[in-house]
Amino acid sequence: MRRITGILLCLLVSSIGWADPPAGYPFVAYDEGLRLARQQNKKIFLYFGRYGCGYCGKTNVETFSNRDLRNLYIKHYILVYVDAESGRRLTLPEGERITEMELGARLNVFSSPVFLYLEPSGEIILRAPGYKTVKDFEDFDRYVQGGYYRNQSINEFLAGKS
Amino acid sequence: MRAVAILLGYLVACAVFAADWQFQKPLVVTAASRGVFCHLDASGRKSLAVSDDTVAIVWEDNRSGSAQIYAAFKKIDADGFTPPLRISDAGPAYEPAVAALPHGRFVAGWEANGRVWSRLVSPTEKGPVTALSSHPAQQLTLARAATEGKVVAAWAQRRDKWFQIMTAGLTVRNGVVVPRAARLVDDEPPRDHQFYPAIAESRAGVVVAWEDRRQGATRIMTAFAPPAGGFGPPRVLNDFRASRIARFGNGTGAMRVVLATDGQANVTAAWLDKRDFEGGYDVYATVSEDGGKTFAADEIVQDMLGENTPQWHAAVAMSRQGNIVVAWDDSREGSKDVWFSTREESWSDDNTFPAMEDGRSEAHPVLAYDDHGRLHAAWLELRQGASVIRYVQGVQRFTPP
Repeated sequence: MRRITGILLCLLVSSIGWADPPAGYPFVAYDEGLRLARQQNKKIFLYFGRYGCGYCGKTNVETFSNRDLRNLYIKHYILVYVDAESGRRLTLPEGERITEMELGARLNVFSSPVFLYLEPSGEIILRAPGYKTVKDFEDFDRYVQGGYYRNQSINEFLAGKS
Repeated sequence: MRAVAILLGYLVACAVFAADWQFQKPLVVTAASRGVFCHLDASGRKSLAVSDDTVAIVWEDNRSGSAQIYAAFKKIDADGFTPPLRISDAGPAYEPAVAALPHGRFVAGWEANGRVWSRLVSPTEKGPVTALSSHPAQQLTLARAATEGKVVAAWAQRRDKWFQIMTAGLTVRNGVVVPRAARLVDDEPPRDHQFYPAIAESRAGVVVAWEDRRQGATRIMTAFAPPAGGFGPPRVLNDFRASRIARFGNGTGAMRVVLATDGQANVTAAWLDKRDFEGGYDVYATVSEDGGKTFAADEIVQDMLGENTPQWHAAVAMSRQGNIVVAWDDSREGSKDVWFSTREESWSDDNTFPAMEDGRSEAHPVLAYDDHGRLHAAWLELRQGASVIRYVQGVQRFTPP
């Protein structure tokens, strides 16, 4: 049964557009994600994708199809997806109206995919650009959830394998 | 003679120099209090227009408690703008555009309640609001038409689940904006989004450019219609690179195309382009000598010093004399600044407008030339959570042969 679920999830992920968020994950908009993160005191996993982005599609199909990773990230994070070329409107906590593209400009997100880990306040903990494997995301999760980012860079953390 | 005297007076008054440009002292269009946010953000980036000796700037802000559209005006030789004039009725309202009519009058347009709207505005009058779209619509842009007293409009209109590009001519009768001959640019059944249009009309015809997702990645497409003719088939404007990895992706991205014309048959298109994705978006541009029916090979606009920094919010203006300027913002010097480049045989080194200061973020430029070849520019400043729209006008210094 577990294998069938995994196959179905993989099919779902591979059938969507190349830079939509991976199916089966409860991604929300950035402003909604900030609200939920503060309400639930959870950190944010922010996925910047782009329509037609090859490495976004590769990450969706080869990495986000992993069932254990999906469960881990749903448990630990508010999941936010941003289309870096989108004009979708967002309202920031201080009341400013911006677009998803503008959010990318302000966060200096100039490639895709880019994965950001944020405090519930929106402060950036870690920026991880480019294609990532399941193991990469598991390492980043340990770094963020374990609080190592307070004292170590991600490279120091990975070198030490805390 | 009067025009010459005004121009001479203007040159004497010029106090600030940048490269071969002479700029007047920058002015504040509007300064928002803390918690109020101004936006110069619209499809095609046509938030500034000049009609005879009157400059108009339109923007969105939330000073009333919700997003609404405002306009401010100034005479070209005046040293200040009128107080903000609210021009949207219902709201929230977003992403305004403005185009010049003769005699200091303008057509302004915006999006509200899922439709696009317009009205006549001037320093002394506001016409009634006219709905331009009968269906859900967004991203209105406007431009002066080749025929005096008319304006052309384009917007993205929803059909089933996808947006398509609509255009219309706008005339003003008894103070009322009247849309005419609204039509689809590409009437193929939609299968993905077409949006963020820009429009320009010269004596050769009307050209529309837009973002098109029908090829699985965002391409910039254009279509041209001669006077009284239908639109030809869409053409891809931007070069792009195929995905570097097998099975995934459909190529590099491009977005937010803008257009300008000299009114004759020359058209310039500019856009943000990610073909060299390591440095983020670059500004690319191309020119047409047949009104937008065909375009030359595209060219990178910013200079080498901006190569490793992403560029954002490109705007373009063309003068009646054929001068071309493209402006954008980037962070090559740490803080976000507005930069511009002019094109003669190639694109110039990049310049900044006066009044750029450390500690401020300057972004979202908008541009227009007046009929005498003076450049008018405005941009958004952000400083400690407060936003200011700043304006400057300038001329390119005469260089003896």
